[in-house]
Amino acid sequence: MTDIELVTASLKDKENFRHIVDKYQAPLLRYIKRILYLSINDAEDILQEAFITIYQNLNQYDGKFKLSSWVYRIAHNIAISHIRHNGKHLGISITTEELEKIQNEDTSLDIDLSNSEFVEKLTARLDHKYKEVILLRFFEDKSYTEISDILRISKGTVGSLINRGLSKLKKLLKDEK
Amino acid sequence: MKNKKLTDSVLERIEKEKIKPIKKDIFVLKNTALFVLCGISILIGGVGFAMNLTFLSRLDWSVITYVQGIMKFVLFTPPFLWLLLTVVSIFMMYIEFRKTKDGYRMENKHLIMIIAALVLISGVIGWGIENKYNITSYFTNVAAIRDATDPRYKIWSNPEDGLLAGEIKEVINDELLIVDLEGMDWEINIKDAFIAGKVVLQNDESIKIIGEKVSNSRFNASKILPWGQGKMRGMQENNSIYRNTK
Repeated sequence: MTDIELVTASLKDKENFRHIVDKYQAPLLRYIKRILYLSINDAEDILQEAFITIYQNLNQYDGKFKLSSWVYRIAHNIAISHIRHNGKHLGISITTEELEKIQNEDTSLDIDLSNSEFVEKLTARLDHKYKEVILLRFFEDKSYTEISDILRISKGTVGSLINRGLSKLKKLLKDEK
Repeated sequence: MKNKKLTDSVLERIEKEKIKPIKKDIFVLKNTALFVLCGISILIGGVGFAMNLTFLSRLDWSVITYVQGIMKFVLFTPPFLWLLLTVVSIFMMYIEFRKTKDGYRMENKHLIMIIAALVLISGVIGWGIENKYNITSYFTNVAAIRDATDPRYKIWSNPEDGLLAGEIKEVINDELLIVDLEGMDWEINIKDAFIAGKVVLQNDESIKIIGEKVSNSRFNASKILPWGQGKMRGMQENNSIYRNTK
């Protein structure tokens, strides 16, 4: 089924929404974990909230965007409200040991963790605005257009954030070595 | 392998809480409302810019040096307030447009240039309309609006500094009887005055006078200038001679 067919079918019968949840739960859970550094249970709670919001907003989706970008955007917004609600970003203060523990946790989902675990840990130390673009570009393999649609920022801004984020990441790598 | 538990719990929650997708019309309405707000912001910004142009074009730059102290500050405050209104409107439109469905896609510099161009164009159009229909003159009885749109009323109500304006009620040889912007009567000695080419010394003519105050009702003119664009609408209505001649 195409993206628009998936959405239309879900609007006709909520049972069909199962296909959207099945298709996107693994990448979204991975993304939420990466952006918030939560335990699997907490991340799943946020993911469930994201899917409920996706269902409520199905009529907002139009075929101009990739469905994946649109569901990522909603998951991203839910993650951001979680950060706001909790006052600060959890990833900034987390220790490497804690980070490793969370990432090694058995998720029971087929999450494909990035091979560059070390870089991912360093990315966690970046400012949120850089971290989200770096995660989406290099760990979620999203194009500039997709990142622009997910974060609702222009492609030019995506480009400059990635460049600045990479410079900061390189500096962190240098400091670590 | 997918987490069927999560899928089922999402569907169960939708069922249990009777969650329904929000109607498409709501999203369309929200987007339309944002575009309407953008339009209103352009309009407000345009009015701000038009008023700034109106104010500055009515400012008699050649006599600014006559105005001293706090009066100078009061005189130059409105252009900054109009400019502030214009800038705030541009900012508001930027925010509103960014919130529209595809508003995030445009690059910052392009968006700011387009908004600024729209505000400037609507401002120039507004200024043209003001020049043609002199809409602000209908509000000159409201001091705040008058002072914010036409600096002449502030500048030319300063006989102490040698600046006076009013409507001619009578011409007697080398003297004019005028009613000033505050509704006060003045006898103007024009014997040694330079009279600008556009000035016609006749009843009901609005004029500006540079000179020297001799007493509370006498003024020696050294230069007589036309009032310029827009009909003079001061407080002359309070003057009995003025009312009787109308």
